Amino acid sequence: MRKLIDFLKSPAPNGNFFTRSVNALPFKVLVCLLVTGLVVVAGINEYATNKYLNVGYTPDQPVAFDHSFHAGPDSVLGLDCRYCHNFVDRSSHSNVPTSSTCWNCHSQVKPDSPALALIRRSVETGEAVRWVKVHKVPDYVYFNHAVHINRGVSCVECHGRIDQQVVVGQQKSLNMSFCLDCHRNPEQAIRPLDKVTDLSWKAGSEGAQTAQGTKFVHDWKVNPPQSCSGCHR
Amino acid sequence: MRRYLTFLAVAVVALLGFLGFQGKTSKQTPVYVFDDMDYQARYKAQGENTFFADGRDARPPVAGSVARGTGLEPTKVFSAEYRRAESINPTFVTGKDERGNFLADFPVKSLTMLPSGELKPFIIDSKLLELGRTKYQIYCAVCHGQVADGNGILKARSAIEGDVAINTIANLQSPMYRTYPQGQIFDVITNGKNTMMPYGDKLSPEERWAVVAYVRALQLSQSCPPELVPASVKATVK
Repeated sequence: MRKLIDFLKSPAPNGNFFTRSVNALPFKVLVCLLVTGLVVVAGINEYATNKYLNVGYTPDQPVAFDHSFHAGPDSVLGLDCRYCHNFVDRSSHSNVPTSSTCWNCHSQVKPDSPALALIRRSVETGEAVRWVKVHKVPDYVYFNHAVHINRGVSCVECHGRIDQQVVVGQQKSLNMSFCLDCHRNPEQAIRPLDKVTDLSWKAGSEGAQTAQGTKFVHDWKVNPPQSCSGCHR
Repeated sequence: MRRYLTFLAVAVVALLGFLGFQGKTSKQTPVYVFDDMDYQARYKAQGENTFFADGRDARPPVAGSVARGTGLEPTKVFSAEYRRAESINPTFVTGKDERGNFLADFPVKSLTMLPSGELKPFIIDSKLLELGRTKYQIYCAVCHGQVADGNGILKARSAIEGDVAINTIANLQSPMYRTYPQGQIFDVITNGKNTMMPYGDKLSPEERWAVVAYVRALQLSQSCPPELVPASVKATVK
């Protein structure tokens, strides 16, 4: 190796314009291009996907509603998701609750809290609370909440353990392959209907999930579309 | 070559420092690399709209307008002889009879229209009770408790916070609520009562009747005469 480098660095015989080291140039260019290519591919793989661009989006909300206190089996109050998001099982859109829904309880509990000032004003005047939407899919994607909830696909599949979040942030990529993973293997995501809003629920084992999932897919005639028009129109 | 690779390494480290890794939390609105049709100019559910004074996409119906159907079947809905099930069977949605008294019993007819134009009879069966249980546990148990004795989580919390709800939550096992006509419980669910807010927007009429039936089941469960208990269950009771 040493000898080779010395040879390459030695002056060329008379009449040769280039030194011998120029012979290595194509090799060097190739290595640089290869490394650059690897870096670019790695960069795109890391940054140009929803996993980087969307996951972790945790905006401040006008009212600091804490899901981990209100909702889910591990919370203090243990509310069902549907107490507030009450149209999730009959509408394509899962609604952000009306301010009067907050007031069902808060007219009695902590009604004068400064943290609830915006809700109080909204109940009194009808002015909208400008909640910030977190989980977005492009406008050409027509996701229907009700059909998923009514076929045993839990909130947790797309929203993660939202019942443990103090501030809501996006946890899953929600890109097209994320949808298709499930649409191709629905038995991995389907659970008993009464456990849909129990985000802590898990089948006993992977085998148990596959077994009961396959049964549900058959019994409920679950046939998730994989054609374009299933979700795009 | 060495200089270039050093430059590349520095650039990569700088980029990593600036952009971080996947999964980091951020308050910035996500960037869409190709946002060609991601945002379309259209009204969205609960969307924001600067055109209207109240800033909402959703428009409230004009005062005095009467719903005529879902609009999914326009030829049927707009035909001259079309009548909504609610207008044929108003007791099902009000809980009151023609003279405005509360129904003593459950309504006889449902809102489901048979092909003959008749309304399907409203039957209290185990399926309806299951529906009632699901809805009761979501919307009612928060205050009234799992067995309708008024000891829901809201009572526990207001005891901790020192709020008044502890005094106002109704114990549905008390004699007063046991003697309520079915229609009156339905009316309370629909329109609220005292400090209870209306739940008519959250529960469909059928679901409200299902909850009424389930409340009756809960009342029976807490004062069950011994002769109604099946022998198989009696054997397990000590």
